[in-house]
Amino acid sequence: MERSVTNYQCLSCNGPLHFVGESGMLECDYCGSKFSVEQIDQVYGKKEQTPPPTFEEKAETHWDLSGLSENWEGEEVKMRQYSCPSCGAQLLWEESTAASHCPYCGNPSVAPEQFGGMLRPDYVIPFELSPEEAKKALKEFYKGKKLLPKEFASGNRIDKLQGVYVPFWLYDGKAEADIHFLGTISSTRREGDYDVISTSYYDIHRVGAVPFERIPVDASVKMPDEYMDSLEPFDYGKIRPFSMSYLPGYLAERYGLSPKQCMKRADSRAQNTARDVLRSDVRGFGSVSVKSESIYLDRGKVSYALLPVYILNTKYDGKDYLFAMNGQTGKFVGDLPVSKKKYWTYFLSVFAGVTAVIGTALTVFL
Amino acid sequence: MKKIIIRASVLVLVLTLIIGMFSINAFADENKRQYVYDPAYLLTDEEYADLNDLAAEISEKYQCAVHFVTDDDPSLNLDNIQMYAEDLYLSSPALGWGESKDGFMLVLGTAERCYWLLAYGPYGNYALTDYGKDWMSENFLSHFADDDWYGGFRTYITDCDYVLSCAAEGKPVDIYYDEDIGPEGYGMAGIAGLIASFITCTVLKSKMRNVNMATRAENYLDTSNVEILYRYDQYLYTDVDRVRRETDNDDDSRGGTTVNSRGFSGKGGSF
Repeated sequence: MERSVTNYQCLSCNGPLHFVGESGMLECDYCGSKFSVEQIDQVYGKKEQTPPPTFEEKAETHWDLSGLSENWEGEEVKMRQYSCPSCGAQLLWEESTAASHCPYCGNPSVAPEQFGGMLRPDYVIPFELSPEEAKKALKEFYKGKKLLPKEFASGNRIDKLQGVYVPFWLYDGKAEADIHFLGTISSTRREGDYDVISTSYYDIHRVGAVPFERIPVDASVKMPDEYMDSLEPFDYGKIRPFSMSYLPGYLAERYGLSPKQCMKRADSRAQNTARDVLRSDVRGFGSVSVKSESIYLDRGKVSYALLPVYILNTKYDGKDYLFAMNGQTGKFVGDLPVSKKKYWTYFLSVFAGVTAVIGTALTVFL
Repeated sequence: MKKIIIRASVLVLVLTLIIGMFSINAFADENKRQYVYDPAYLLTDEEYADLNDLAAEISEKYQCAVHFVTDDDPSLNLDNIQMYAEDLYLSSPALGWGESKDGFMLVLGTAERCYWLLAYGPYGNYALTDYGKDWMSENFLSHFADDDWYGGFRTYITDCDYVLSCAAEGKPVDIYYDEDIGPEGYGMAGIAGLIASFITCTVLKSKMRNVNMATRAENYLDTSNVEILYRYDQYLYTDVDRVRRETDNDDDSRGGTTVNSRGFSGKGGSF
């Protein structure tokens, strides 16, 4: 089935609009006009309620289409078909894609149905940083990395840079923890030729309530969880109620994992942190270990949010390297390649230096 | 204590008389000084003369006096031999070299078969370290144990020669000075090098990645509403362990010389 996507067009010249993080407004590529999210929401909110007729209704079906199938089942990546309202091109987007560009006319497009009903996000954190800042951050990330291959750092190695609104579930809740710790206090006194070490053991009991707000768990199937975790924290002070007007110019995904599927990760993080909070209340002991614990999670509201992430891809030595930047705070994460030559040079230099110094010291001082 | 002081005074008098018999200018001319004293008559005249000549030669060469004294008084024992030796050394002008009285002295109590080896003066204490005393004692005691007095004193004097020659080169006989660090030492240095390079490279490698799964949610705590509802610490029991202390004697890796408040370093025992 063919579906429609929305191009956000300039209210002055009908040129394509895209959201610009620095200004927080939608800007026209052609006449340079700027419009606030609220202005565009007002105009497109009405349009979305009464969708315009699509090409589908006007098309005549003279060709034999009986051999074609709309059934994508069995395919590894499920696709959806859309029609570009600017140039009429037929677009095939992955099922989870909610915003992208038309590859023919380049207009940024949004698929409103991806955010309809239950799937509609509650919040969005708009991009605040530009793609250029992401490129700069990558260069900064290279600095001080002694094992980075020279060829990797030199030149522009970015194959693809894309701003993506990644779906996250935000979990509210409270952990009620009841923990018994085993604490020790040791003292040493001297008796003749002996040190007498006394170790006293204590049962330390703490009960506490530890509330959480919006623990984020990445709901995308495509994004690696460890990358998304490493981009935290996001500044929730700048979170906004969701509007599609923030999406033009970026890729956006709908969730691929349900709140239940992601729940375990939120639970584990809440439990670990509740344990840490109670542990931090135990003071004055030399060592403390958990003896027994009971942590009950009072699970609260789950919200759906799109959070801004820049994804950068590059290839080196036949291997793909992925980097990500928090589109709001600029935090940059990724794994860099290690130069074997540099690794062994450092290894052997340190080995030779330390062996020589210690060997000399043993010879001179012993 | 009083008895020791009296005995030391008497011995000083005896020593002075002996020295006077051998040379009128004993104190004026260092070349004719007496270095060894044998009131217990353990040595023959020839042995005595031979050892005194040897001690004189070494003392003059290094300007650090090498003495030994024998005594057959039955009251001299392990408890008082140190005090006796130190008092004797301080009170006798014939002992030591120069104003600082640098020197070594071995006192042998033949009745109780005990000995005390001391060093005195800045150079004496520098040259004869604690380890040096251990090493020398081991060498001469094997002779005294067999009543080989001449052999023991000769070993003592020749060892003094070696110790003073090492000190003159700036390397007093001390722990490990007399041996190479050996394959074990090089092995230790190599292992330390391997560990250091492994740690360095691991740290450098860890800087190449900063991607990790989150296990905590401390950034999302509603800190104003965190409540600790119950606190109770209960004493359970106490364990007591006794561990033997490592003393200086246990630690044979230390070098140098231990000098007491009177300026002596020494070592003694029985044979």
